[in-house]
Amino acid sequence: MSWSRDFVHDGEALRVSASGSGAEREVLVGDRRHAVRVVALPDGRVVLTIDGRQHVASAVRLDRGSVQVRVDGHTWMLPAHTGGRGGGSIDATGEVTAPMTGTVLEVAVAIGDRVTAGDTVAVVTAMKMEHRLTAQIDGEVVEVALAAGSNCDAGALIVRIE
Amino acid sequence: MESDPGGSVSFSRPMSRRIERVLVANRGEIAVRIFRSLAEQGIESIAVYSDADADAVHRNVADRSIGLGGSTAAESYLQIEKIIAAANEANACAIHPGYGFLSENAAFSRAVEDAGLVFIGPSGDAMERLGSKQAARIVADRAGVPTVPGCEDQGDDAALLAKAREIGFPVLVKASAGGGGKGMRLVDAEADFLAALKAGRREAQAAFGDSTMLCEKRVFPARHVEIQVLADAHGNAVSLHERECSVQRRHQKVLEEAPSPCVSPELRERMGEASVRLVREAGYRNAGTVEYLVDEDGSFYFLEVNTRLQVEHPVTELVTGLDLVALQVRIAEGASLDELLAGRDLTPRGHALEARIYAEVPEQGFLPAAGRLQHVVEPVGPGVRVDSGVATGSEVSVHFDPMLAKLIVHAPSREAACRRMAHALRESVYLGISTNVDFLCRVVEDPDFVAGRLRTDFLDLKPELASGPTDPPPELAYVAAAIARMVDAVGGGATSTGGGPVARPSAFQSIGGLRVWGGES
Repeated sequence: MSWSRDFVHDGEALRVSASGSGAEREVLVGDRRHAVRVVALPDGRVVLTIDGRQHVASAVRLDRGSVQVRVDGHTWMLPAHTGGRGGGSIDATGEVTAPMTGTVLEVAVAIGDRVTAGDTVAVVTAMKMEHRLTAQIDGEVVEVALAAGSNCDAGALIVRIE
Repeated sequence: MESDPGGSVSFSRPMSRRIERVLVANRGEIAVRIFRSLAEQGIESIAVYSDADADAVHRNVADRSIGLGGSTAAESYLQIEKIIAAANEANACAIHPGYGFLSENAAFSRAVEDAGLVFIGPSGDAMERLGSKQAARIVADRAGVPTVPGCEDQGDDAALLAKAREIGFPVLVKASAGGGGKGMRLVDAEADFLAALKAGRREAQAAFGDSTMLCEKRVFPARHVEIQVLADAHGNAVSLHERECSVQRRHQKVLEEAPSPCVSPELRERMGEASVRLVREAGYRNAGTVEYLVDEDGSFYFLEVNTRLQVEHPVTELVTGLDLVALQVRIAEGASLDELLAGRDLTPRGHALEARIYAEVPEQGFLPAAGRLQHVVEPVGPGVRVDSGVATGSEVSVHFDPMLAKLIVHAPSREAACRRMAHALRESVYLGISTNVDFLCRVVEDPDFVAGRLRTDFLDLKPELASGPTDPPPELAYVAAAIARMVDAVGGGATSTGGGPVARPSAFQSIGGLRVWGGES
């Protein structure tokens, strides 16, 4: 039995794999080997014993293989390495995207408008709260991808500034 | 307790009808909490639900459930006619509104009573006298309760701006209706006033169907302290003391407690007396909350009355030993407080702390999160109470408030309550979406929080509590992730990528309540 995934750790790819069966398992994080004794709790959590210390953990799979893990009362997001698709460049390129699934309430700019970083370009509403989306860079609006009234998914492009 | 049979306000006709079946016009944790109390009282319960809530927990824990159709609140839980039709269909004799939605809607209270049903809450008239912040200020003035300098909205933005200028910036604009900080904006400078007012009006209209706003001087620095009151249909009212609710983000409470670490017995008594005067002046019946700002000198200023059960009511229940939902029902039946509280010592006992578990991203300005909760484990233990509206598999929708559950602890001292809360939070699992659980844990372990140094800007002064650790995940996180995913006990069994015969009870041998791996296959 085995399990394996490539994560992005501190900007670097990190392979994590696990093998074994029953109570005795082995996990390889990069090239570091950990012997783990496993006990499953009836509520779905697992107790790991590593070097004589016990840790309570639970983990679920999110989109594209990323894992959300909770261990000893701390939650961590472990982003999967999906090859090629680096994240985090949206601001620098002037893409204003929806922070969450909701509705575009207002688009305050039109194609051709000049905007300055910090200007409100759109307002998105979700769960009865309004969120003001601002330009991260100075530039010209080259695309308005969603109009007021449209539903938007988290991460959807609303306005592009160049 | 005070009695005022000869008072100037005419109270609603006392009802003597026994309530046997109650429809709860709400969802989530509060519906579940009310159902629990009803069941304990031997009262049948009816749930209503929107299409988006067809699989929701609250729908399944009532004795019967009736669909309202629609997805959004406006299409379902705010539909007065549909809710009353559901009550009639189920032969309910009373409606409990919970909090939010229609709970502070006078037209709803009246429509319920006009339909021959009991509204478990105040009369429409009393609600109007207190439910709008604007009207409540007038009642407070009459009752001799100090208010924050402020001004009323006549629907004219320019006029309100002129008045805001007179009060002096910074000011707060907020929805006159409702609560929960919806529509509220802090406006530091005149230039931002109209935009804030416009956004506030829109939020208020969407949340409460009323865009009337209120503009108030910002009392600062201050603590948010509120008094829980009970008032019956016979003119009696009693204070159940204060709750401290200063720890807020986006004007919404995050942690609440009773008693307040900052309120002396003398201040408690003065605030309690003022609150009792105020609700009696309004002819109010039901549980209710009178909210105040308390400044550094211990002066208190009336903010608003919440004419309903409050989200944070459990902390009062734990320190007084009362069931506020049961008392609401008995008051609605016409019972008097003399009878209900006879022989009760209402002095607060020990310390209670509540943490609101939200689906949100504290690291990104507390943006709400939505999605499927893939694994939920809620803590148990002495002095630990969880009022929850979710379970493993629950969908958290964008249509409703992102509060998932409330974790409430009770301990002999405040310090012990903080430790109990930290441990209970660590034991909690809400995985599948982002939540504020780790954030809450950081707050209750913060030295200033533990020392009781609370102000309404507590979280603003400590942005590091929201942003959390910036270190990359530790090695242990990867090891735990690999094992937990391989075992996939949450998913209910071995998956094609998983690692063996785990999640079935038969695969374990039970030892002392824990299931331990057996040696089979």
